[in-house]
Amino acid sequence: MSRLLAALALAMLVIAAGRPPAAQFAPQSLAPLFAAYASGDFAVVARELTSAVDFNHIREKELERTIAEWKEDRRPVQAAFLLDLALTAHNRRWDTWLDVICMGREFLTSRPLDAVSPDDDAFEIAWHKTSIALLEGQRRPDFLLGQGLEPLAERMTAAAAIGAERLVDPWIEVAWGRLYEQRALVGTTLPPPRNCYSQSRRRPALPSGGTSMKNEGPRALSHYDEAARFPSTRSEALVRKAWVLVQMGRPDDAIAALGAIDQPFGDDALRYWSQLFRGRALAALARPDEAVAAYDTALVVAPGAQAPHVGAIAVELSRNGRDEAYRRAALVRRPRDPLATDPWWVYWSGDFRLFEERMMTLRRLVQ
Amino acid sequence: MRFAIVVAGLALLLPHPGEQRAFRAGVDVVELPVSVTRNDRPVAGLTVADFELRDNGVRQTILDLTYETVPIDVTLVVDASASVEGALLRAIVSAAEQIRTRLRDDDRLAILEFSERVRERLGLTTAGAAAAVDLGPAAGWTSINDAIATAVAMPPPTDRRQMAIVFTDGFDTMSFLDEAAVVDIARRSRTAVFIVAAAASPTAVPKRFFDELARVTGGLVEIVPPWETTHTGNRISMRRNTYENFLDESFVRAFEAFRTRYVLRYSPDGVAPDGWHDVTVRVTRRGRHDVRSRTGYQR
Repeated sequence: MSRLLAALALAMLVIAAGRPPAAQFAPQSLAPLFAAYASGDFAVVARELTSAVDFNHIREKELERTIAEWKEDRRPVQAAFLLDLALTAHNRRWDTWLDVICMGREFLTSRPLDAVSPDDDAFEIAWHKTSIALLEGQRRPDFLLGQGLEPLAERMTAAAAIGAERLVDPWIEVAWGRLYEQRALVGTTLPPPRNCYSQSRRRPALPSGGTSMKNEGPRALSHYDEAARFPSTRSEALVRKAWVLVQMGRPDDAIAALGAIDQPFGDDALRYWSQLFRGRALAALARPDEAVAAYDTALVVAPGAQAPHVGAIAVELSRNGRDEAYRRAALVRRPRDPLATDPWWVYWSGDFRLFEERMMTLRRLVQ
Repeated sequence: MRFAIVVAGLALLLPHPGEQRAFRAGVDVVELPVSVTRNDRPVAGLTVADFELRDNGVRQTILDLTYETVPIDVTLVVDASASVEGALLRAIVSAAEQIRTRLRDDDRLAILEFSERVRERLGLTTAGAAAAVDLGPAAGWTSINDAIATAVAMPPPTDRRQMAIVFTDGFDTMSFLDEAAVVDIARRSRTAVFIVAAAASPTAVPKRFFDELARVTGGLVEIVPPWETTHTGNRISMRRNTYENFLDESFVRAFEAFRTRYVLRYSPDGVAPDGWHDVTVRVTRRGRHDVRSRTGYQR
């Protein structure tokens, strides 16, 4: 027995010796995390909050009370902190991360609309765009609708009613279009999330068994048409409109939509998609040479991409260009750069591709 | 001996390397792998007289048939997306390993894995040279359509049969190609597509798409429930399949179903040389025989 006790004591010593140095904060407490964050240490949440138990403690025991206190002394950094808290939970796969988005949005939008400053408005729009980008990355249209677009649309409607036009952004029209595109892609009923969202009134259900582009396409198109009226959203709206039209079997209209782009693309993903979708539309119009040329132009924008080759394989086989199809298939199977990414892979995730950039912008705004 | 003479004769008809061919064995000879089963068991011992083959509706003379002897190229097209992480991935590795160990010396194996990305894990390798199967790690979305299209878009070898065994556990979430395009590509290839899907029900996977792929290429579809049922007295209990070989039988069944195929050879007669050819085959022997083959070829 004494040997056993000695071994146990030794083990305890080893465990104690192996412990990391005491953390600067007690991570289960919200206050020191926020204090560090507010002083400009934006990495503190990701660095210090490593335990789901700690996160749940903060969420269940501290957050609601703290947010109530913050409402008496509002600062943008508080809302930015909540988004970073949600991001850390999301990245660590703690499934109640959506709660924090929900709480952050409610905190931010409890700000009276008739007592606003231009800076606060700009921050609020930036916050919504950032949180919605994160939601879009989940490819859960129910999250996007309930926790992002519906509340934001209500906010914008209320702002417009009192003339607070700075809170109204045509960007939301593209986001609505993307929502309907996402809905069309979801093939099955989604499992309910375990968070505040499931108890809230905002619980939009998708049609059982999913839906289709035939149902959702016209709704997406109407939003893209609206967004195309504004220079800031015109290019993305037309590119996405083209893809919806391709899927609805209207390749002629898709080519026309792409031809109407007269504003800068803004980012390479849009430029790439425009060529990828042109290729697909031209293939549907039985114009194989032009289709392959469009796919090859997409490859100039993203040399390691997979989708243009796959599209070209279909074109080549349809015109008995077997050797070329086999060559391209071999390039897909054994790419020159195995780690190259394809901008097509982020198409369905909407603005998620811009999330990191937006998060950095948000942090800059609160500095 | 007879087979050797036929092969020697066919060799004279083979096209030059690089010539475009679909599943034609030569300029004037078409090879057609055909499965014949009765009560789900392969029927052996059939002769050319037992088959009726029509090319674009015109009955053809079958020059020759072989059974089991033509080597096979097997491409395993396996889902390595996030949803298969853990026990399912181990089950896939186990099933793939079962195929590897069943290959004959002149058979070849390739492995293509896919998430949103399609990647060759193993290029076509003879049985003796293929190392133990290794896959993963599992992560990402699912591009099953693009993976199948890439897998079947391969030059058809002159002296071998091609099959793909595709494994997945759900719906496509990332492909650029739609289902119709993949079916069109598959029907123009020479590869028979067999699909094994782990799903709680046929509605949890694109069953209609899989059925169509199998129909046009002469393959099969098997849905494997991801749970096992045990009966204890009056109680039925179900638990999730986590044992590492629950996919083995399905993979092996697909492989053996392809192995035990006749290969019919004929020289198309009385039909236009170019374009799409619809092909139908039936067994003329008395009794119900299930006959499965490609539905046509492109010339």
